[in-house]
Amino acid sequence: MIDMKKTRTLLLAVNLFITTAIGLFGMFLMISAEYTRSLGNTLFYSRFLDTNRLIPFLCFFLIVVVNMLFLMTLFRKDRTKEAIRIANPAGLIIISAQSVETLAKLEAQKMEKVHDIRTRISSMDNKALVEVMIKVPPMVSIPEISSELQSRIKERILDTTGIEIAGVQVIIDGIFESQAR
Amino acid sequence: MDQDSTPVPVQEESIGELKVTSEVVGIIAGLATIEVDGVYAMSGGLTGGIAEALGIRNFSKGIKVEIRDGVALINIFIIVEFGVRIPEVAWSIQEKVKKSVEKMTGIKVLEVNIHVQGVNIPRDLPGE
Repeated sequence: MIDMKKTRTLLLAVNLFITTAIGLFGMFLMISAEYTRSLGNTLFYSRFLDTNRLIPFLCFFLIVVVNMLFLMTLFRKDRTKEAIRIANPAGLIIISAQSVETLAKLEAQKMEKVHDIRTRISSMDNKALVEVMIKVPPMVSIPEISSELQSRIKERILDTTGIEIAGVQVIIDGIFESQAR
Repeated sequence: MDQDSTPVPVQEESIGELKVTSEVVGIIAGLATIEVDGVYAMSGGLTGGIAEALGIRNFSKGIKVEIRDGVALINIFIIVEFGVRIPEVAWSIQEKVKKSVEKMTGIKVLEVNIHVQGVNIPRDLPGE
């Protein structure tokens, strides 16, 4: 079952690579040889592509772009395994790491003096460890803000998921400079 | 969606046979899930999203049903509202799905696994 899935993904990847190569080759062909020799020149004079070639060129370009998008989704890190699992009599409850990140972020956004929040789950082995990167305005007490943030996030995750997390790491990423000055 | 569409015999009687496909179980489970408070949406993945954009209503979106030896294993992929207690929501989904599938089809439900794929971001939140 798992093997089947792997082969399917592999085949799809190979397929996408081939079509991308064809697309790139087509794009290259559409730029005629005499122009490629002095590409800088032709770009400057905007005779890079004449109308006959423009449409096929755009088609090939589109193929390449679409393929790239698909390839990116294929090779994106599979995060389905990173999750909190809770068992109950009727089955399992699986809470994705992404959900926990969103929860932490939303809770942090409620706070006034916290800006540019980024959250990350750094380990999922036994208990989740949440990493929060924030920017704070000048003239605030960082320890105070951090401890409030930590306790709020911890409480929110405990309240929502029923799971106690290992801890919250607050990383002060920088000082927030407000635009209105 | 990896659902085999071979009908599963539910009961064999002298009058005839009753067969239910996993697709039907999926739809029943899907409808039961949306009714639960705290569930924002089903998470149907990329293909589900495209189908939705094209205007195809798929009630078994975000549901994977596996039927082995006449017992059903149901996996449900959801997005929850912010502020709910996930274990409670999950428990009510499990109960509701189990009850309605068993009542409507007669197929025994062995497990209902809830996959929380995301949390809905409320619009009226202060901040950025």
